[in-house]
Amino acid sequence: MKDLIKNIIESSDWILKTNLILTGVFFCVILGFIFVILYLRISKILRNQKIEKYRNIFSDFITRYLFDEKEVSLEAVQAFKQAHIKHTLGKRTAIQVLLIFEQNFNGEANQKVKELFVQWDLKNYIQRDLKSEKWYKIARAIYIASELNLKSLAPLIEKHIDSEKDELRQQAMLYYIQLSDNSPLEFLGRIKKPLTRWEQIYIEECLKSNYTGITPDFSRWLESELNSIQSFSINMIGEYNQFENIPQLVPFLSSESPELKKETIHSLGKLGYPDLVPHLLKMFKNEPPAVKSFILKTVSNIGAIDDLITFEKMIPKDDWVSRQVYFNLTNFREKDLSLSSL
Amino acid sequence: MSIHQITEIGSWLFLIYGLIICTGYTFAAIFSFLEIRDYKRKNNFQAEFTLLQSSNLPWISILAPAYNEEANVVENVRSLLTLNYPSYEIIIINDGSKDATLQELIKTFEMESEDFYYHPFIQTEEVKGIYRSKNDSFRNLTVIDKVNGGKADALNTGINISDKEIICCIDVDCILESDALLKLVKPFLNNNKKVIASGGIIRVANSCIIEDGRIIDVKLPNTFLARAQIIEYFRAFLMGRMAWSHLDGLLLISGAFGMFDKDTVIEAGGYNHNTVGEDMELLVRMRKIMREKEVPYTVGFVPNPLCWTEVPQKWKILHRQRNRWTRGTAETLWMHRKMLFNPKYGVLGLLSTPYWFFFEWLAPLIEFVGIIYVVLLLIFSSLDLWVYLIFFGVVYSFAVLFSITALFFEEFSFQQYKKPKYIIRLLGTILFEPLIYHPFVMWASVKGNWDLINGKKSWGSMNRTGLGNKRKA
Repeated sequence: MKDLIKNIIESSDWILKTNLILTGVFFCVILGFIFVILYLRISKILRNQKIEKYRNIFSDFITRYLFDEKEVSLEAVQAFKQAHIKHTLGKRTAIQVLLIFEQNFNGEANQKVKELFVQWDLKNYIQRDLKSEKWYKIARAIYIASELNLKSLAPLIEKHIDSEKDELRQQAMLYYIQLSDNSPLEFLGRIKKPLTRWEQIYIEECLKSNYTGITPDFSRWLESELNSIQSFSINMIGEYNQFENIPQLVPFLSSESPELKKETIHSLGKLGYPDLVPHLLKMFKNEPPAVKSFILKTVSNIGAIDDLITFEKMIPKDDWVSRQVYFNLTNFREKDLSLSSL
Repeated sequence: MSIHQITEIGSWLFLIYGLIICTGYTFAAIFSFLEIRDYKRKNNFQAEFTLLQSSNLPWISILAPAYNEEANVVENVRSLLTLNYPSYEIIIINDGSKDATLQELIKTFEMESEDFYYHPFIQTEEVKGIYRSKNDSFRNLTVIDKVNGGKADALNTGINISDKEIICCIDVDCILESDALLKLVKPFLNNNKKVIASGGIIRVANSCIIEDGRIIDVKLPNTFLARAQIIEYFRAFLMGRMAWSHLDGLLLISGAFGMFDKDTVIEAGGYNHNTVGEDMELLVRMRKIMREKEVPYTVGFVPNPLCWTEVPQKWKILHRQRNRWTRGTAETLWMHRKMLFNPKYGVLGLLSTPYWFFFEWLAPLIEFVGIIYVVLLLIFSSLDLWVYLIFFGVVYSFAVLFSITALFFEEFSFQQYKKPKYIIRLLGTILFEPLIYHPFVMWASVKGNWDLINGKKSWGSMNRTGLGNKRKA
């Protein structure tokens, strides 16, 4: 080894020297990474143990707070806070446990969970995150704010409703739906970036699961400048059986956008619009194969089997996509009929 | 030109090549880190499973070719039937199996032959029959029986039969996480650009405990060979593909688990029968077409471990696999040589294809030439031991550093190997991998190129030990 080092030091070849230095640097970085990996592993194990311990402590306390016959005093709540909710990990775990209780209990217990959230001063913690510069902290804070119905934080959340960051925007939209009394989709008039289908599904799920107010009239957004909002509204009109909006949907059967057209066919089919099949028969010939297939599937779904046969004659010979769809639909139907006759 | 001058030039060329590789890998590590961090931040607070109730999630056709899979096919299909996604169908394509694969499926799932209408949007071998179940519980299962034509042909048949907009091509013997479809379909739905494909991380299932077709306990394999492949998969997926995903320059979505926009696949002509690297070739062709049509598009990549597969446990099988991968890469690069350094294809032309050419295809050949060079120097007594040791030291330390970085990313991201003793063993594997495993894989690649020149086209059999013996139920 001594010879090697002497050889290199005495050598005038800078390539060798550079390589040797690089080797040393690489080995140092390797050692650094090994240390970091082991540190990460051990710290995560310890952290998980700590979280588990916290969870048990918090769950016990919250259960006592909610259900003990003898009411837990404000002093006891504060003392608990001083003892266990001092650091970030304690605060985060407390929020997680409170969210679980909030989701599992309704009525008075649910209200008391929210009280405890305020008494433990966790609202300030969320508020601080909402004012943060980091989008992921804000998004998480909005999520918690909406789960716990923290209406007073709305002014801080409003500006994120059309955020460039998708996650932030999604959380802001869900917050407004969840906390709204009567107008959960007001924000649709304010957004400029198209809704992704993922966001549309989230909005729909949030409306169905968390919003308890009056169902909005979705036709309000049929005139939106964004195709995605129009598409969402058309879909929701069908989902919520808003029969009164059928006349406003019909013009969309002639939309230039195949997506809007498909969504309209789907919704009108769902609403049982009696003139749908004649409309479809009229338009079928001039549609692209993707829309033709969609029409065939819709006609099959609404159970108009005789009409389906009428469509067969209109499928061009070289439109293999529609032919295949037609064959499968009729084949399935025959099979279903034979099964039901058994 | 004297021997000394040739040696000097050779040394410089190796050095420059090494430097470019090191720089590329360093950037890959940085991009991967950014991508993983971003993904973790986006997905660490809200559960997505509530969306599984939605009726608006798109239908997905899972296409799984099966060839001589009688031993495991029933269990694999059962596992697919229990995936957590509201609207999907499974299409098993029996690619002319010589064993009882078809009979096992018919018997177990009460399948019966039915009339079918088959239009070859993509040309395939003849379809002999289509089977659907009499039992309503298996209503979303279809089995296609066809004349043998290889994996690409089987997948093309499935594409022709499916009438859904999104297809998911998988290896029938891989194990999917229950929420894999929801995770993989997300890029298609959460994007304002057209998404033509999305892929996920493939993990090594060897030694893991499997129950009802799901991984319930992740264990580290006992063999060095399997562990070395785990490290290799970390490097390939957590560093390589994550970095390419960050740059939107992915050229490969693993054939074991990938989701595609069906219309784009058909427009591109489906899987190519003429290459053994059909998965890579298809994506390159799809991207090329989109680029030429000037349609804004992207390819999604999900870093969650969504699919688990068995890796070769025998050197001979590994050799065959790597030989095939090399031929697939070379064939794809040759077929799409027009893209190489072509600014018209953007990141693909200027970064992705040159990377695959120089660092995936050419690297083993250069390494091999390097070894021959050292041997020649040794034979002619021109080898300076100190110089050799110093060069070896820098290459070895960089190889270890690269693997350690990949292991760090695993720790930083998903931590699938939870026990500290696993980490220690993986660290040990990393130290020996460049000395034992890597030269072997390099040799398999060199042999793959040789076989390609000699016109070898076959896949070679991939006998697997099977995960069934480790399944608890």
